[in-house]
Amino acid sequence: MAADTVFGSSHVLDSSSSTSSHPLSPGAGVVPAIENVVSTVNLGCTLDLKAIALHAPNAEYNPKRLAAVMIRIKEPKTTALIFSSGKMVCTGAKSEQQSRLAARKHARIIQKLGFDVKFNGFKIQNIVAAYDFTFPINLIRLANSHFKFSVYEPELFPGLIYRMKQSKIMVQVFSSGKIAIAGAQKRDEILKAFENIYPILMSFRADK
Amino acid sequence: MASSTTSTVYIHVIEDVISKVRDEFINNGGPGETVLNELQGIWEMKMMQAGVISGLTERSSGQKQPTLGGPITPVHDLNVPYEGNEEYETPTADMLFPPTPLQTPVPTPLAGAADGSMYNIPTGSSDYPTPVNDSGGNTDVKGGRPSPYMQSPSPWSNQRTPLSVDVNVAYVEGRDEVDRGTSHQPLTQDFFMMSSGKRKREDFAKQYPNGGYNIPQQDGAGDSTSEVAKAEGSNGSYFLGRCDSATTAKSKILAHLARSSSKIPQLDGPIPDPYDDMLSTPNIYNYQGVVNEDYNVVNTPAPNDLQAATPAPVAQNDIGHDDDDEPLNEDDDDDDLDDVDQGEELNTQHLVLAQFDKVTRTKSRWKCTLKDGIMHISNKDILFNKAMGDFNF
Repeated sequence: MAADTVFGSSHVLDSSSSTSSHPLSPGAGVVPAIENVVSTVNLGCTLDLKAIALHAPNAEYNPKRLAAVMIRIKEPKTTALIFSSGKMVCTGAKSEQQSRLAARKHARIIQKLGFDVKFNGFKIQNIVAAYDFTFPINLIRLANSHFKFSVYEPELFPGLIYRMKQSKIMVQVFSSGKIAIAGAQKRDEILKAFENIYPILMSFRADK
Repeated sequence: MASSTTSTVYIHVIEDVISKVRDEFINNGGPGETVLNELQGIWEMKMMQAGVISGLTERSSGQKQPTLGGPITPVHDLNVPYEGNEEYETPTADMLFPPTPLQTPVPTPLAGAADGSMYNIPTGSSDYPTPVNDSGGNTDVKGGRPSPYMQSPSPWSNQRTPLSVDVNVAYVEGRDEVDRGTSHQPLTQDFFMMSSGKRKREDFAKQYPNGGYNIPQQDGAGDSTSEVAKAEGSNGSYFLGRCDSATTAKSKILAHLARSSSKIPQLDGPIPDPYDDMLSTPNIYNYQGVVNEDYNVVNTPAPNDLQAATPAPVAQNDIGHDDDDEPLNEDDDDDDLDDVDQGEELNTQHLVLAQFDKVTRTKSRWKCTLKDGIMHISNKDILFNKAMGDFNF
């Protein structure tokens, strides 16, 4: 859907030293894979966490550590944090639709326990995608030339953190060529960021 | 005969308990020996009905004949073993009366547990006296330790007999000082609690009006790997002081257990802080009302919140979102969730009821070390001292 519109021309530059599989702009259909979707929803009623922890299947509750019940379901494989205010965070889904479905399943679990549960304000908060460029990347050169957007402290974290100036998307670039794009609330934000970073990374290849 | 081992253990437990409370019953205006004998008779009869005791010599004359009915009365949930009739191992002298306490950790895969090697109970396990074991003398009692507690739930589920309350309460005087200091020792007590699945939850909850501190444990792990007990530690010892004097009979037994076990504190995992840790999943079942008043908040939504919320969703709906907020009519789908409940069948249900030492998780791989547990697998009752298992969720 949106993926197709984002990618305009998919011309391949023969003159580029890169392999044909990595032109300066991603070819049609070359998209990062979504790995995680985080969403929130308001169940619209206060919840008794202790009762939930006692009666819900697969529930974890350690109030000393976190004031929320963690419930896991198998399909979609997700974990939900449920707070006493009735707000719920659903993590681990692989797509937006799955995240919504999972959130509904979690809400259903709570509903079955007898709470007057609604499904208010479902919102995708974060989408994380990953992609493998398969060529090594010179992070130091990248950090030096894009110092305005890059944070690279190898002693702290082996990946370079690239923040796009026009959006709040964050890209983690690793020297192996793998990247992670996070912070998007919509799928096309991911794709846009990917399209922006693609040529940049191409120019900092670390192999011939 | 393999089954005799479990049966022996249970019989020993019954005898031990009865003999220990005999004094209480007879002296000081207790209920009296007749009542005691009747108690014993009823207990044995129920065990026989459940099929876990065999070859019991008629102890109390004039009692109802024990009927070796087919397994199960609907009353008996998980907690009451259905048939202990087949053991996998022929009990050797070592098994029955092991000289050394507690060793032999039994690696037991919780899912699809193999029969062999599980039965360590007789091997000097610690049971009530984890500590005492050093003398190794309590072998008989030890395996049985679970059973008195196991037994009581069934009467609970039916009717509330005075006995049932007592067992849970346990621990009396003398226990206080010790326990207060050591805080929550997950002795005995609660692990018999409960019913698989949701069936008896409400029942049990109602049975413990007293401050809710004997809240039955609901594992809720209804998956295929449901054998893994999310056995929660019990803070039974904590409540010693609260016993009514009327319940001293049972409490004496438990006091004995408690005292002996108090020598070496048994802890499930880290020593919890008195307040917060009471609420965490391992300890939540012994939750005291005092601590967590917050969590007893009524579920009714605050009206203000609702009204504030509705305008927003309505606006969104106007934009054209498909059944966004509100309609959570998910009676459609969620087959996965529903199947969990349907998996309950009295006879073939597999379950492990134990206290946990450690439960850890890495991504979707869970590892559990359990202790002092009873497994009911393939209609067999298996007792163990230690069990370790992992599963994937």
